[in-house]
Amino acid sequence: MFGVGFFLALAFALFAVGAFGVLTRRDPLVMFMCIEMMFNSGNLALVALSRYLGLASGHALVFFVVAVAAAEVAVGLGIIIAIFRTEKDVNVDHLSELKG
Amino acid sequence: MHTALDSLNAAMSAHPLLVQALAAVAKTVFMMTVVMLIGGLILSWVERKQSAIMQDRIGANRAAILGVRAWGLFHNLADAAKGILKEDFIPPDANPFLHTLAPFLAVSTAVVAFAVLPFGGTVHLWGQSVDLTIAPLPIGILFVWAMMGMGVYGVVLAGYVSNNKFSLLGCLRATAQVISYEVATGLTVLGALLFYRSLDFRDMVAWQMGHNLGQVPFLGHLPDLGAVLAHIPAWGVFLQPLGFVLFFTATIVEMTRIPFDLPEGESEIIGYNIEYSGMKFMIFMMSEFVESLLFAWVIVLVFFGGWSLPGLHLGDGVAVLFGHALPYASGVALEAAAMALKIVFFLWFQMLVRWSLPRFRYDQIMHLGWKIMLPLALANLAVTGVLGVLAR
Amino acid sequence: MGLREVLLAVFAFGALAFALAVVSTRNTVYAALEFVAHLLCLAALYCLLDAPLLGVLQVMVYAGAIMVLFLFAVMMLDIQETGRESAFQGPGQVAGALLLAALLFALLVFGADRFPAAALAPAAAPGAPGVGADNVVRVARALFERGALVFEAVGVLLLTAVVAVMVMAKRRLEN
Repeated sequence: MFGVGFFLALAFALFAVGAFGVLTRRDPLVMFMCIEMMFNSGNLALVALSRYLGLASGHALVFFVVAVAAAEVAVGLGIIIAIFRTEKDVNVDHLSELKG
Repeated sequence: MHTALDSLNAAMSAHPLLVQALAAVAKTVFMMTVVMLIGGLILSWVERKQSAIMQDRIGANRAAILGVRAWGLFHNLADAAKGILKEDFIPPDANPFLHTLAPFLAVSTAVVAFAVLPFGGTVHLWGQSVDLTIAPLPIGILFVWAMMGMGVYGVVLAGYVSNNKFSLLGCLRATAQVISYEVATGLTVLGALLFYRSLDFRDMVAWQMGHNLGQVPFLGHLPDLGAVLAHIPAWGVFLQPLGFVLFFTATIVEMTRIPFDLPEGESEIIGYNIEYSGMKFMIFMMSEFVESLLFAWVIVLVFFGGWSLPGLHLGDGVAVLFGHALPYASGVALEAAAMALKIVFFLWFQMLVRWSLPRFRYDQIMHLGWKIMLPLALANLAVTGVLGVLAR
Repeated sequence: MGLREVLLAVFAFGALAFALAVVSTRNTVYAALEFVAHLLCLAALYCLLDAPLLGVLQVMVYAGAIMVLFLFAVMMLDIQETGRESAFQGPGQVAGALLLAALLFALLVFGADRFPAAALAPAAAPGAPGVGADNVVRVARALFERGALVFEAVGVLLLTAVVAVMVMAKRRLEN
């Protein structure tokens, strides 16, 4: 039952859930978490594939994904806090400063 | 009597799985007893008494059962009774589930970390070798760090769900302090790990037992000292003195004890646990004591040779102390005593620090962590790494 | 079904359930906590897939550092509940996103169909991630030998991110 297909299907489902969240939520922090969820679904697929295909390099890739995610969160949260300081509001619909 | 023992031996030898299962249960029960007894009961008594001695007071001594005071030991029982009988108050706007979960998260993550800490080497029972570790993980030290990271959630939850501005501020202080010093605790140990080449506590202790300072590159080649150094065990503290000092400091910040107790600041700036009462409040206190035992244990394993005793060698069924043969059982007992003594020493030393130093200011804590300890830890790691490559 | 299968099923279900909870929870802090639970389920799955190092790293870095940072930001911002406004975008957008997500899922499943139906490779085979203490060594080899350049690049990226955040924070202080 738990072949590589099961984990891939789980990873795809998580990716789809994350994509849905990014597209529909108004709160940028939750959107952010949904992006992280998509990262993690990729990680799950990598771990499952490296287990079933016998590749240690998949694990190394997961390392890099986690490191990039950490950098992304640091910068992203910085931006969100900077926006909140000036706008006093973190609703993506209200953030239309750049609109002409 | 003799026959009963013989039949027990026979039964145990015939069922290796039974030996392993019983050993697993015994290890878990032993470890939990030690953690709960020391973390939950003895440390709070020691702290009262030690602070009293240091401040020239008598300390808590009124609680008595039938006139027996037992040096104030019964105060712990009185505290427990008070904690259980007190009203368990949950603020009206708090989420009751998360409010109750927070103290348990704080203490259980610290307790779970003990699963990977060995309390001895490998013993041989009825032909089976039993690791004196509940869960001998090859990535033990990473597991401890992971559990430390999870422990923050107890504080975060407590501060947030209490729905109180003061607890929220306290929890922000706590979170920033603890995650800042997680960097320092991690980096300071890495230098020692370069020597041990393992993340497994058992391998670290085995390395420290199997080497002496004369075998360490550069140190061993010193013209006159080399021979002397060969008699000194290669404990982490001798290889990484700076790493040890930094790690010890960082662990005190991690467990938010007095020179760095800004998260709770019980004497004036109240903290994340103000909306907690009774047993839940005491569980937060207990998690601090459990963490202090955890870090003392880790320090002994990484920097002070674990259960190793200079001059004592345990072979297969034989023990040798400075060239004299000893019964195997007494050798094992000596090792256990050495380990226990080292841990007790560090618990005492933590208390000594706690009652000697005044509290740091918050910006001083952050300055110390990011501008002093982080560069020093990085420099220590870089120097160790470069010397290691040169010595190859 | 052995213990491993039961655990796999439990944690796979947990990962999916908590992911759905993150998407549907209104309160940001609760969403973050559910996301932590989701990450812990994934960490357990990694351990069951013979990747204990990644499992522990997931707990250490993702749950222990990244999500704490998230919660820290949420609490520091002290975001007010956005009134009666729904946490979601309009119904049209939700329906569209649902359709898109389903399409994405179908596309991925269709694409994965082309993968070789791999049987479980022996964990100790050469090149495989290995088990126990061997896992750490083999992942380290993959990371520092073949991936050395990428590793350095990631280091530079992290440093850049740190400097960028510092600059953002500093500029606000001056104003």
